[in-house]
Amino acid sequence: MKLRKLLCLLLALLMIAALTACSGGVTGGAPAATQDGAAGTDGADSSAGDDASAPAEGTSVDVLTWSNAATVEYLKSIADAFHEAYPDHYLTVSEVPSAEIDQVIQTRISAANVDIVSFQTFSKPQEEWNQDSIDKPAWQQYIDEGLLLDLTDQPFIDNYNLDILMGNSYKDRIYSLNMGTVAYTGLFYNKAIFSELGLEIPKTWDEFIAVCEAVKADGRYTVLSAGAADQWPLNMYSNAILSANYGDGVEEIGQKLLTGEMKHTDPEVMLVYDCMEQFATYLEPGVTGIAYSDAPGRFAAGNMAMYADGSWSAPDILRANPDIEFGYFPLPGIEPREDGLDPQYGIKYDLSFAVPTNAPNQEGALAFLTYISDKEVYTAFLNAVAGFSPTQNDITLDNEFLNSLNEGLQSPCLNAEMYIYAPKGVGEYGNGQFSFLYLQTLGGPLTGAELAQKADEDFETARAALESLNN
Amino acid sequence: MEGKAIRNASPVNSPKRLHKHIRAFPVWVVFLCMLPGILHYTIFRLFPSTMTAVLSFTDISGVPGSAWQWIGWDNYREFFILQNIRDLKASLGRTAIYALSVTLIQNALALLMAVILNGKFLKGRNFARAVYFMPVILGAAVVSTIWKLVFSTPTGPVYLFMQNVLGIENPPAILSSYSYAFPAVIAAQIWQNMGYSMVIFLAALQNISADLYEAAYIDGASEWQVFWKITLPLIWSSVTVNTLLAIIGSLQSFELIMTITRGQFNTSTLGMMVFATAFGGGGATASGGTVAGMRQGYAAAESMVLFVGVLIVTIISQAIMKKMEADQ
Repeated sequence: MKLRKLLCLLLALLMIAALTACSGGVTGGAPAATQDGAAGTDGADSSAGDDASAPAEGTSVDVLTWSNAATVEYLKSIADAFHEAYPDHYLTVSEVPSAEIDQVIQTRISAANVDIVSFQTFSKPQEEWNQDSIDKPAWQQYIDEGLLLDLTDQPFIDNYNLDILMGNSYKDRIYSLNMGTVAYTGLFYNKAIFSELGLEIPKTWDEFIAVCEAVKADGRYTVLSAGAADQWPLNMYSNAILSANYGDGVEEIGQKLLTGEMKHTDPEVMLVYDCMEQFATYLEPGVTGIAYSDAPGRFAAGNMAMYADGSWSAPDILRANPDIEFGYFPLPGIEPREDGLDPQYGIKYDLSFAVPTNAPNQEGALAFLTYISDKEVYTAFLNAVAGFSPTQNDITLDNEFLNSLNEGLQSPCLNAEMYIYAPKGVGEYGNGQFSFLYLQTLGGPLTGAELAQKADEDFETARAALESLNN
Repeated sequence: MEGKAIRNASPVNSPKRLHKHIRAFPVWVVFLCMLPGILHYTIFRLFPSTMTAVLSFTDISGVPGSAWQWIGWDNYREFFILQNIRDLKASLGRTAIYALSVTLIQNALALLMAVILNGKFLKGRNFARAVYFMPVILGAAVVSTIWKLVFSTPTGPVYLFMQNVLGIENPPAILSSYSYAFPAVIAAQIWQNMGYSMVIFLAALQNISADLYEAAYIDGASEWQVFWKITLPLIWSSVTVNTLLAIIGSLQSFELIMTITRGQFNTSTLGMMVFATAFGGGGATASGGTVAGMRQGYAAAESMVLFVGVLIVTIISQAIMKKMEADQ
C-alpha cells in the first residue's frame, strides 16, 4: 500500500519535473558560438568563424542581420580580426531571411538576447500631421520606448559624414550606424548585348522604350526581368518612376496623397500607372512567378538584356557568373532633368546597425561598431559588399561597379518608397506601392487607369472610416 | 481490499469500471496525478486564452516594456469599421472557402485512401501508408518549400507540364496569381494533413469485424452497398472527429499561407491576419497589405473574432454531425 502511494507520488513528481523541463529556458553557462538566429522562426542561422561548435573565449557579440551573402560573409571573415583587437569579445552572426527580419528583431529584443540589430531606413515616422492616419513604425516604437541606444555621442560617429547619418536620425539623435546608402532605382544591363545591338544607355523614358523595342525586335534575348514573385522587387519600380520624374518633390506628393489633396488619378500620379503598364509589357513571360532569390542568376546567365533590381545584387550576379560584363543605369524620367544632369538614382539608407539598450553585451556591441568604423575595415567592408555607397568621408573604393554609379549619384534623392504612405485600413488597391501585379499586362485584373481609380476609392473609404473612428 | 480490487481488475472498458478503479485510490493521489495535466492546461492554455481576451481591450504593442492602456472596444471597432469592408468580407469568405474545401476534400481523399490501403491483399500497403502519412510530420517550412518548387516559374514541373504537355504558351505563375494562388495553398494544406485523417479512418476501419463483411457478401451485397450500409455507419464517429479537426485546424491555419504567399495574391485568411498584425509581414489586413505589425492588442481582438467564428462553426457542425450519426 505504502509502496503504491510512493510510486504514485514519484510518478506525479516525475511528470511535473518533465513539464518544468519542457518549459525551461536557457540556463547560464559558457558562451556558445552559435546563436538561435530565428528565435523560433524558420530563418537561417549561422555563426562567425569556421568552427561553429567551438565556443571562442570571451563574451559573444551577436549581430542579427538579414540574409545577404556578401554582408554575412564579410562579417564572418572579420570575426578573428575583431577578436584579436578586442580579446574580451567574439563575433557571432545571426542571419534570417529579409522578409522575417522585423519579426525576429522584435522577438530577439523582447528576449534581450541580441547585441546588434540591423535596420534599413528609418522612414515614414508617425508625426503630428499624420498621427491619425498611420501606425507608428516599429523602429519609432523601439526608440520611443527607449529600447535603442543613442549613438550620437559615441566617438566612432566622428568617422562618418554627419550630414548623411542625420538623414537617418530621429529627433536629431542617431540611433543607428548607417553602413552605406544604396542606389536602387536603376536597371542592370548586359554590356555585350547592348554593344551587339548598338544600344545606348537611355536618358529619357522614350529612349528606354526604344531600347526595349530594339531588344524585342531582335528576338534573341529576354528584354527585361525581375524577381517579381516577391512583389517588392517590381513595386520598387513604381517608386523609381516617381523619383525619376519628381525627385525630392515626391515627399510632397506622398503627403498630399495621404491627406487627400491629391488623387491617384491626377496626371502627376497617373503618369506612374501609365509608365508601369508600358514597363510591364517588356517583362518576360511568367515573371510574376520568378523568385527574387533566383533572379540575379537568371540575368547572370547572359541571355537577358536588362534586369530590374537594386545595385546591391551586383555581387550575386558576379558570383553566379564571374565573366559577365554588366552595368547599371538609372531609370530615366519622361523629360530630361532641368539641371542638365543625366538621370540620377533614388537612394535609401541600407544596412544600419543599432544597439538595443537591453543588449546582454552592450560593451561588446560598441566595441564592434568602433572596430567596423575604422576607415580601413570600413573600406574593406564596402569593397566586399560591393553594393553600398560610403557614409564615411574620403573613402576610395577599388570596386569598379560601385565607382561606375558615381555619375548617377551627383544629385540623388531619397527614393519615393520613403514617402508614399497608405492610410490605416486602406483597401487592397491602395495599400501597396502602386502595385504592378494588379495590371492586366501581368495577369492581374485591372488596367492602369482602373487601378488608379480603385486606389482613390480605397483611400477615400479609409479616410472616411478613420474620420468616423476618430470622432 | 484496494489491492484486491486492482488484482481482480479486468480491462477497463466502461465508465463504471473506471470509476471503481479510481475509487481504489485515495482522493489526494487521484488529484495529485491530475495535477500536472491541470497545471499544463492552466498555464499553457487557460491563462494565455484568458489573457488574449483581456488584452484585446488594450493597445499593447508587443514592444517590451512599453506602456499600454485599456481602450475598451476600440480594437473591435477598428476591425469592423476601419478595415475596408469589401476586403474584410473577401477575407472572411476566403476563410470559409478554405475551411470548407479543406474539410470536404481532405476527408474524402483520406477516406478513399484509407479504404484502399485497408485492403488485406494490397502489396506494399504499409509502405504506402507511411508515404501518405509522411507530409504530416513535415513542418510548414518544408511543405512550403516543396510546393514552391513544384509551382516555380519557369522551371517547376507544373509550369513545364502546362507549357510542354498542355501547350499553353504563357502558363500562369500559380503562386503569384490572383486566380490560382489560393487554390494552390488549399491544395498544399490538404496534401499536408490528409495522412492524419487517413490514419484515423484506418484505425476505425480495422475495428470493423470481418464477419460483418462476410455475412454481407454471402447475402449478395455489392461493394458499394457494403461501403454505404456497413463501413460508413461503423466509422461515422471517425468522420465526425476528422470533420471537426479539419474545420478547427483550417480555420486557425496560417503557417502555410505565411510561408507560401505571405498572405498576398488574395490568400489572406483570418488566421493569417492575426499573425501578421501581431508580428508584421504581409497580409496583416484583410486587404493583404503589409504593415509593421507590433499591434498585439489589435491582434488579440482579431484572435477573439476568430475564436468566436471557430466556436460557432464547431457547435453547428458538431450538432449536424451528431444528428447524422444518430440517423446512421
